[in-house]
Amino acid sequence: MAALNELPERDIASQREVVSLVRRASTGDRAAFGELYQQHVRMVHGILLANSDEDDVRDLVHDVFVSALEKLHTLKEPAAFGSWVATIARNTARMERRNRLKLVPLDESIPAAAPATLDGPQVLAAIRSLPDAYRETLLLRLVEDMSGAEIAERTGLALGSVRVNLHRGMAILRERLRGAR
Amino acid sequence: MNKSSMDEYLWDPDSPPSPDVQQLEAALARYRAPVSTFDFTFDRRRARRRMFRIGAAIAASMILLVVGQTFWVNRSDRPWTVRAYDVGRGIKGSSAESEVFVNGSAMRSNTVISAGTTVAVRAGASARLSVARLGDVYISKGAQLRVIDTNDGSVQLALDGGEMHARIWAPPRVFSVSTALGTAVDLGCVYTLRVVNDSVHELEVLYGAVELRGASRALPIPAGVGATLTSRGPGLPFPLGATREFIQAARAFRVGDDNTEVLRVLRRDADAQGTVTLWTLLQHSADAVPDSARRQIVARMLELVPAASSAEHNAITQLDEDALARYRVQMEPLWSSEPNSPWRRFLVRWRLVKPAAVLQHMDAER
Repeated sequence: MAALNELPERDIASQREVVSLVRRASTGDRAAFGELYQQHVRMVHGILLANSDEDDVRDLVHDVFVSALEKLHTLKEPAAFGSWVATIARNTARMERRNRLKLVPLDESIPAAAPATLDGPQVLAAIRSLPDAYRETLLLRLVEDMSGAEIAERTGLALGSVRVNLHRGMAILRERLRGAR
Repeated sequence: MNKSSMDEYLWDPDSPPSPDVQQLEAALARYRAPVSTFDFTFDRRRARRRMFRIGAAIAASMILLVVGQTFWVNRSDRPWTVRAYDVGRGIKGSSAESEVFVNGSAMRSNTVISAGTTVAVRAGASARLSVARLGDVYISKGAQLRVIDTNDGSVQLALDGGEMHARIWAPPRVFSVSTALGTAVDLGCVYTLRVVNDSVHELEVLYGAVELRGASRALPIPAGVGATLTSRGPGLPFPLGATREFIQAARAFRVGDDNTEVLRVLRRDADAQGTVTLWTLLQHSADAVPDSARRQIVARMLELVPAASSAEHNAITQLDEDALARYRVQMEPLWSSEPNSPWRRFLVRWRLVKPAAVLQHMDAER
């Protein structure tokens, strides 16, 4: 594993771009908000996939960005747009779970009988059974194909935290998938 | 399998691929976010809310017609009326008339309970008390409930034993219930207060919030959260839907004791709502929770609820007070399990729906 001080630095130019886009979007610039959407939709989609019923994710993605658009004027630190919209996504997932008439917690167990080869629903269920921090980070990497640096930049997490989440999350995931076979 | 190459590919998908990770990516490819653009013209939530508003308006109109006949605005100077009635229809099942007593005598139906009166039920029986226009109180499990005062500005009761379940729609701080160990001040809510024994009382808030006071401390308890009351005052709050081990650890925390194992379990089993417990731990003095433990607690909180930015993250890990205060504001909405939708809050208030996690806890306790 590379030492933490060998990791690439955060892309400062990309942060400045986010600040500029947020400021423009706050004045009603739809193209700017559309660009923010493009830059962050994979992150939001991954977080919702980690915390909601997969059938609801597509609709919830739209809800999250509508909410972000409505509340953009309240964001005091434009550079924190990524972590801010990530919080909106998690809150949206939480409220959606509560608003169902039958509230069932995310399934913490993996299926007892598993096929010999890796099966999408089985892997997703295994990842969703992981602790929150590992679950989201792994889904952002394995489903949304985001790099560790990109995950850190979009979510606001420290680079070191993302690397730890990926490494430990993958170790636990491998154990659970191995135990299910 | 080359662990180092897997780590690198896990970090950077542009690195030489790791077959193990590629296998997972292939299995999960179907879940990837589709390419899309943001649709500015449609707000799905507004369409859904419009339907709820129509339904809520119809339901509210019907209920107001019924409720309006029994609850009406009375601006006289007379004290609030506490009335015990519907004898035989308590929280669960029914009870015979002779199982409910007022000042030791068997109670008749529709009895007005004045200040200084004690209402008691036998074990296994229950009774309902209507507190003027403020709400309902249900007592059970051998409860003894005294009416201390019913001034126009407040209603004060005392629970001397057993269990009571309150459903209050008064303004905040109008209604309060004391026990030998402290006082639960209603802030507009539904809650259960229980005298377990002489040294332990318990509070479970199902909706709204309650301020739990005791031993010169006061702790706000939000919906979906419980707390124990002892002679030392309110204990650590805990989510009612937390694991049994988490709840036991929260109850076991004692200032002055060796809490190493307790803190380990709390950190391990906390979820996002459990940050209410972890946050309360941080409010204790350094004697009770030393700096090394605080840093571990903060690290766990940040795993559960990431900070708003990397700068905030760094400040919080340094235990910067201002950063921690901002972090609390960020976490606080997660502490209450109260529904966000006004329609659903309306249903909960009228006992039609309860959070499944709370029911699970209450059933487990029984």
